[in-house]
Amino acid sequence: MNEVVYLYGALGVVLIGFYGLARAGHVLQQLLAVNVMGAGVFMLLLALATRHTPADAVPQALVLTGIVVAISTLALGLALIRRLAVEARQAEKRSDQEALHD
Amino acid sequence: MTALIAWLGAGLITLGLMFFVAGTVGLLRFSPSINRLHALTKADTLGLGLVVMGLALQAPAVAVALKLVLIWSLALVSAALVSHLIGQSLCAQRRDP
Amino acid sequence: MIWLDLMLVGLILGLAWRCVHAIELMEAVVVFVALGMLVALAWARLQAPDAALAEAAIGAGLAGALLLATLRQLPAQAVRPQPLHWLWWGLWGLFGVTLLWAIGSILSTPVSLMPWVNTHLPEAGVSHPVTAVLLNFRALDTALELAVLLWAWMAQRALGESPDTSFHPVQGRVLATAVKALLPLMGLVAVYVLWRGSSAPGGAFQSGAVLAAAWLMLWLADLPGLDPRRWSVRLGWLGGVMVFFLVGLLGLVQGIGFMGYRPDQATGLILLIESAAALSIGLLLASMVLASLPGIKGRRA
Repeated sequence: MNEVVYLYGALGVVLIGFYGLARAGHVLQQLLAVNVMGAGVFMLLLALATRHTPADAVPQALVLTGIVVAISTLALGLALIRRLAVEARQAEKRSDQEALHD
Repeated sequence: MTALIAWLGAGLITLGLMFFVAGTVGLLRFSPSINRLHALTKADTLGLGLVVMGLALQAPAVAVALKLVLIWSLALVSAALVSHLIGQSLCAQRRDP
Repeated sequence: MIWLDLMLVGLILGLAWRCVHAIELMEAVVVFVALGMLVALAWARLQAPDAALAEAAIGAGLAGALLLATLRQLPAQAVRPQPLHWLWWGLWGLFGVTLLWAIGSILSTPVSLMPWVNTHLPEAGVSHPVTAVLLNFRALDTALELAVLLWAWMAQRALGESPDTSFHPVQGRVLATAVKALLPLMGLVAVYVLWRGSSAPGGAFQSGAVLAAAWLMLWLADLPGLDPRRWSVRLGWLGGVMVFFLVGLLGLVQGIGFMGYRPDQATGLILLIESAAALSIGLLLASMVLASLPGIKGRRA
């Protein structure tokens, strides 16, 4: 019975994440929205696993794998964002120098 | 006897939760970070201690109770360490500009 | 206890909303970390202690460190939410209705692989079903997941980031002394969690998260630890994947197919893979966090 709460909760989390992905005003917030969607997917899998007693081990193993893949994508995404910030700063510095020369 | 211990445990856990609530209110309402730290560490140390004591009274075996006490002592060490580090960082920020 | 689940799901939905709706990036990040902790609690309620442990340590702890470190290096700027086109709302609604239909149809067709897991558990070499699935029945998935982690780290290095070991953040001996006192305990916990994984919740991922925390503390306390120039560290990054695939090839040589174990050797092979994987996961996660911190390089106290 309880898993129904989590099943529809998972649906809500995925939809909120999808909405956030579209409206996000910053690339970091977009990355967070993708991770929120991921949490919703994990919740769906784990809620489906509890329909059996004891809980189904296969979806649980999938979620465990998914958590590590999610942190990999988060780390790489953040590295790209940091690199973007560095490039933006350098471009700004270059355009300032050009303005001085003109 | 066991009913009495169970009730005592429940009472301790409730008392501990009240300390958690007080600490959270302090964390949200105090303004300089060092005051927030004060509210957090004081309340959480005592709150977690009371919750652990309450749980240890209800524990099915002595080994489980000892594990809970071990967790509490580790949380104490890490809380002291973390507040020391945050305090140092706050001092450094005050000195730097 | 249904009210507890309702409250938890309500809180998770509220925090998810707050996270995608925050105007300040700092708020979004803090709410995301809080969401990670609550989600870990939900996994515990859903009888998935393995996932709850991994989520609390990796999804909330390490992700929080990565996010906060990145936030520090970004220029302060307000978030400007984008106005959404009505067509997009149509797509969103379609997505929602499709998901609703999918959940409804899953609910009416209960499918489970658990009977197969239970049939083959005696020859898996471990008695905890989640570990058996991860390292025996679906071992290729886990190997590829380690490869994904390694690949993400290599891509991060290719972006010009590498762990910075010259950093002196704190004064006094408090941190160094505490780390020296806590390290043996952390090592013990890592080994215990790894060993427990064969019969109870626990295993390579949770153990790797503890190891990552230990390495990060070593580095914070400026004790000799994680120097990327050392060959042992570089080998450690690759170790998990390499051991996994070598064991897989062993199965091929023995004639039971790639990633097949002989039942009498399974326990030993799984422990070997798990030890290498835990070391690799710990080193990779710690390196990822360290590499995200170059903004404070050179600020010596």
